[in-house]
Amino acid sequence: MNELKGDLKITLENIGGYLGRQEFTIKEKGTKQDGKVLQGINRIKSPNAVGKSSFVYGLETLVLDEKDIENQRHFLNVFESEGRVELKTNQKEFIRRIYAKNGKLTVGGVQIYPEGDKAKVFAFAVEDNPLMEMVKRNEPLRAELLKFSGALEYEEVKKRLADKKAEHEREVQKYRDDLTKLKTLYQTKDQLEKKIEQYEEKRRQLPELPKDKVEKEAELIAKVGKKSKEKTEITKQIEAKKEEIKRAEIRINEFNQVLNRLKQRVKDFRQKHEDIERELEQLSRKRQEFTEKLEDLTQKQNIKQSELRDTNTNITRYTSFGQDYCFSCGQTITPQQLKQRLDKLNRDIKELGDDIEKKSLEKDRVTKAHTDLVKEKTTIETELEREIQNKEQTVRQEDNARNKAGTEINKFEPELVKINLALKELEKGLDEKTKNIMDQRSQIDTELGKLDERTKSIKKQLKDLGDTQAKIDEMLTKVKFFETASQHAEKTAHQLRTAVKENFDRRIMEIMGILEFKEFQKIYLDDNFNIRINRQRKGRVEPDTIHSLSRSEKETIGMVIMLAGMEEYLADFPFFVADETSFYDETRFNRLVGYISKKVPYTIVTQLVPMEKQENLVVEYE
Amino acid sequence: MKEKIIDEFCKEATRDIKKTKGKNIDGLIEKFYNIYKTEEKA
Repeated sequence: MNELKGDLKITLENIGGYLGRQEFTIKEKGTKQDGKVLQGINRIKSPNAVGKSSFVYGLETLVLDEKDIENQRHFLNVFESEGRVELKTNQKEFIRRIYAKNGKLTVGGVQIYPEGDKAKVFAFAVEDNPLMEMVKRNEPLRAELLKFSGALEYEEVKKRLADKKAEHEREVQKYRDDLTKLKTLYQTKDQLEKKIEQYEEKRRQLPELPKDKVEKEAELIAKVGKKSKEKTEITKQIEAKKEEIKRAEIRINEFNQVLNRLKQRVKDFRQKHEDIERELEQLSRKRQEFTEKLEDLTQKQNIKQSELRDTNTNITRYTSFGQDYCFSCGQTITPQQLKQRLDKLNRDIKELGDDIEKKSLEKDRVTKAHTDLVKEKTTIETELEREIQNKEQTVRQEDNARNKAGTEINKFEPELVKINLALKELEKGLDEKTKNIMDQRSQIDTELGKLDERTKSIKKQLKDLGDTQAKIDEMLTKVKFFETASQHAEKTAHQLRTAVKENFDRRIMEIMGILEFKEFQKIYLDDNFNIRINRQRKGRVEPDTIHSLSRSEKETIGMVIMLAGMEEYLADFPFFVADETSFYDETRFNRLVGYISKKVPYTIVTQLVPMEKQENLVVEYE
Repeated sequence: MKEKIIDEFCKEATRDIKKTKGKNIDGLIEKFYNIYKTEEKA
């Protein structure tokens, strides 16, 4: 991107800490000023919180991809919802706008460089530079340094092709299994064809039979066949009838057993209760006696209860009013007599109560015996008798069916005798030899029919699997394609990785030489793109880790790697921006800036200046 | 010639990986495999 030439007029509106418009001029390397040729180093100097970082935000707004600006709400002044950055040269003008929406930024206008993500990594040495962060945390730089080399994409292509190759190899194996199956099928087909040949040969070897003899024999055989069929039919019917008789007899036997059990129950009951009516009458009488007895006892108990109430009244009268005579008969009565009477009455009532309870139980027992006997009598006389009648009827029906089947058998048997005689007569006319040959022919034809069916089925399977070899060949060509392409992708990825690593190593050492880091013998990237450091002291060289370096050293190495990356990937990007450079060693930083200025047209560094020295932001050109 | 086909395929495949995360890679395989196959048979 060589479109930017000469002085750049950059105007920020509502960017970062700026409210309203703020203009800056950035000068290119080679510009003449006060008779001197500038190196293109633009130093943005100011105390804290005056606008150095806001200026860098403005540059990032011009360069970064929309997705990388989206979450940078601080690029826009917190009090504003819209801002813009303008960049003007003598020939060109770029404007980029940002808008705040739901806590995020949306972007409009023209991006000055098409690969903003790459520029952010290698040309913006700012607080949130991802590469710088990774260097400080000593993380492997592989992904970040190879991201723009194409090596990662080649690695992915290699991986996908290897997967495809494995998938197709599995498929080939499946087809090879089919081939084994195919081989077995061919063998079976050969065996079947051999068998068919053998049977055909057998058939050919059978003696020829004269046509008229065959026809006559066939006619006879057909007649014998017909008669045999009739015989089979009749025999079948006789067997069925015999089976019916057998089943009927089993059922009759079962029903008779049930009948016997039922009849025995009736007999047992009648023996037990010879005169049941008398028995029932006795029980009724007994029940009546108990009822009368109970009534009598209850009456006696009621009298005793009444006497008890009188006695209790006399006790009350004596106790409450001192009256020592009976209110009923008027006779004098003492407290002792009252007590004796009370005790006796209570005893009598209790005895009567016990007697009533006993008699009630006996009455219940007699009542229950009466009810049970009536119930049993009803069961025997109605239900069992009915059941016996039903079973006897069923036995009669089964017996009828058995007799009917027997009659039918008697009808079939003479017919069977007749058929047997006719069959014997027909068989006499058959020529055994001719029949034997005809039977053999028929057997051979049946076998040949079966073999033919099996052969047809195998031929169909062979047809289905027929193009297996062609499929295997196709698959193998594909496997070869995947293998070759995968190897090519891996080779290219390796070449790219090696080239990137070598370029970085070379540039790191070149820059380290300029910076005169004599305590480091070597700084390089290992195969996984981890930073490796060899320290040297008094002729001894020891490997060290980045953790042991100072913050200034870490940031310097981070910037060195950025510069190496910038040369590798950003040859046409016009800026290198370093924000907040106060942590760097001043001498080395100036050498670094000098180095940068040789590589890019516009070097922009921000520097902190104490408030006592300077109040405002100033751009100095070197 | 086959090497050239393979090289061209790898280039297009890497471009597709970058642009679409490899959504079209199956189509590319088919396309370049057919060219490769013709060359292989020739």
